[in-house]
Amino acid sequence: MKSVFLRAALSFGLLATLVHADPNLGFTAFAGADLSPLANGQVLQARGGLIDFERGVTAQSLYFIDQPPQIVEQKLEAWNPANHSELDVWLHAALPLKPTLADFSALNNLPDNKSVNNMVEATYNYTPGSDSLQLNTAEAGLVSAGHGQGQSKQFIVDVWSHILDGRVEAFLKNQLGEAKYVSNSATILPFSEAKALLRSDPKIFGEFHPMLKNTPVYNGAGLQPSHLYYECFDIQGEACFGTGAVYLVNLPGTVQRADVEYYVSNGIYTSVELEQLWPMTIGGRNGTLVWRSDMVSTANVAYLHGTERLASGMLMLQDVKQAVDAFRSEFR
Amino acid sequence: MRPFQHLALGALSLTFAILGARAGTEQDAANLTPEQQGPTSIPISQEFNLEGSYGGGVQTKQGNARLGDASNINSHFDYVVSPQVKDGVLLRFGVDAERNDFGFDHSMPLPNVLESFNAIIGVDLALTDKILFRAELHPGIYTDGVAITGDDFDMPVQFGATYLYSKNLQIILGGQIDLKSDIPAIIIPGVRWQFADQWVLSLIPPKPQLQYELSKALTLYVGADIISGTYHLNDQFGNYHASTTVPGQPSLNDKIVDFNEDRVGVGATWKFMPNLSLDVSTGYIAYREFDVHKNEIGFNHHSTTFHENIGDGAPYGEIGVSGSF
Repeated sequence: MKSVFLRAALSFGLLATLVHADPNLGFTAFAGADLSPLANGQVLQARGGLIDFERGVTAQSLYFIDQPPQIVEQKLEAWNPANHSELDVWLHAALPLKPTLADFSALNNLPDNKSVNNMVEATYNYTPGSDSLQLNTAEAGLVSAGHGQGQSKQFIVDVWSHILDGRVEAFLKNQLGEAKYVSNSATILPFSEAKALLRSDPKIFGEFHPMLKNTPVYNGAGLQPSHLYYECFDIQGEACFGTGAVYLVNLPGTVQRADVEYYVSNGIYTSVELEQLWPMTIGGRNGTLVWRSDMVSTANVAYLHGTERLASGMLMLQDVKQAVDAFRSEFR
Repeated sequence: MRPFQHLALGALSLTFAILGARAGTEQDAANLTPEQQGPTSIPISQEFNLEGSYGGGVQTKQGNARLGDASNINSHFDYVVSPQVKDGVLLRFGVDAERNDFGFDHSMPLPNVLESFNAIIGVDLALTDKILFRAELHPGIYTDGVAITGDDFDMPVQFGATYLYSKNLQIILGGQIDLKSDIPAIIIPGVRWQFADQWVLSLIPPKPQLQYELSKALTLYVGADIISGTYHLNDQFGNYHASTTVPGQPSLNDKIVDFNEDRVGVGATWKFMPNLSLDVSTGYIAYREFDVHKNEIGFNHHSTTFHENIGDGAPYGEIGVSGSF
């Protein structure tokens, strides 16, 4: 219910009561950092460094937007990365808190490009037990049922609507046992991945655990998501489908936000994006200080070693910077 | 915001995963309690390369004089352990062994063997968020395999920097300092450019390639392969390589030889496990040279060169396995 209040508060501008205060960056990689360059548009970034999770890679970013926190928060809630072609997000759509199959109708409007076509091929070529798609046993049966009937756009829309709808339902009902990726080589639990990512940085974990313990990520149900979404984006030349939940809490002097993408059809296992906002004055300009942490779990990172893994983290910073720049461009 | 599209690629496309990772299990979930704890161990990675090749008889000349054909069986192995001692700093410790086993008429004034066995001591540094730097010492024995002495010791220094312009474009600057070589210091630029979904132009010595990713497991390529090294020749080398009809060349005793073999060919890399690759290639030895010079620092204008003329080469075949853990 807290998030419902927050959304209402946003609507009425009540968050203007957030006072300008020194942000507590002690839990971030930017404790003690000189924030003055942020007023000029600089984005401070830090790789996640050494973490005890072989499939995880993380990064932190800090930037400033010369708009009040409520405006920034509203923009984050309404943010549609599909409007920025450089991000290779083909579809991003909000879902109601109790979605039905009809709410996935935007899948009918996927672009006709190579990335999406590769996903269509992967769906038709899927063999139960393979790693090409991340499905549970029931979902694998759904996909296989369409084989041998010729390719049709409607089948793709139907089968992925069912899969995404089922994942959302399992999430909202805390049916984590169904939320698996099952293949002949591995059984992955996306929620375990999310928890391992969150725990990889003890300070961040400590800062956000009071919020996340009330979500299905930690088998909690006390906090309703501010919104749900599904999307389709490119990974290595092949589109994937994902669905996630966004949580918000309003704390004294700050806002915390967590975006947990608990299902992705291929390429990565799960991702968590955390944000914290503070009202801030930098260089005489009033605005919002935004801290962001990106955490991703993927099989491939486990096979990166030494310098390759280091380079992967460095490239992740570039991806995050691109996303931050795209987001900030909407304020111009 | 999806800042991770590249992660399925893996950095620099060196390590693609094609199978699933180790499973996250129910037990994992049970273990994920809210206690706060930091990293408990130093990540240690390991990598190895094992490759062997056979090159057919290459017609070899001294000046314009034909000496005969020389074949080469090249074998190479390296193994490196790399602990990440802190964020952005990885140490590198390992061994490297290489052997060129030449087949030719004994009277030819060429070494039968050029081989090295050396340690690798190095470091990888993330200098900035876009620049990776590597420096390695390679102390060891670089010899013709006869009467190994202290003169066979050498310690080349290799270094390189990679500028990560983007996930599709990386610019490399590499170099080597080897005081025994006729060219004691050399710097070579390189680039890796993924200019299309399945195409990568990897102009990185010693194996520049144009690669086509046929599938996630199989990459085809055309390219070159440069085999090179600097070795000490024993103090009777010139005397040994003589016959009743060919006199010895004592002037070649106790000298340094810079060996260089340049190959062009086609090949395939099959990633048969997420962290193991099999590489097979074949092609043509376009150029081979033995440059024999004094054991002193700096370029020597009076070196003796045994070489192959362009067009006098021979086919080769190579197979190799590499992996990282």
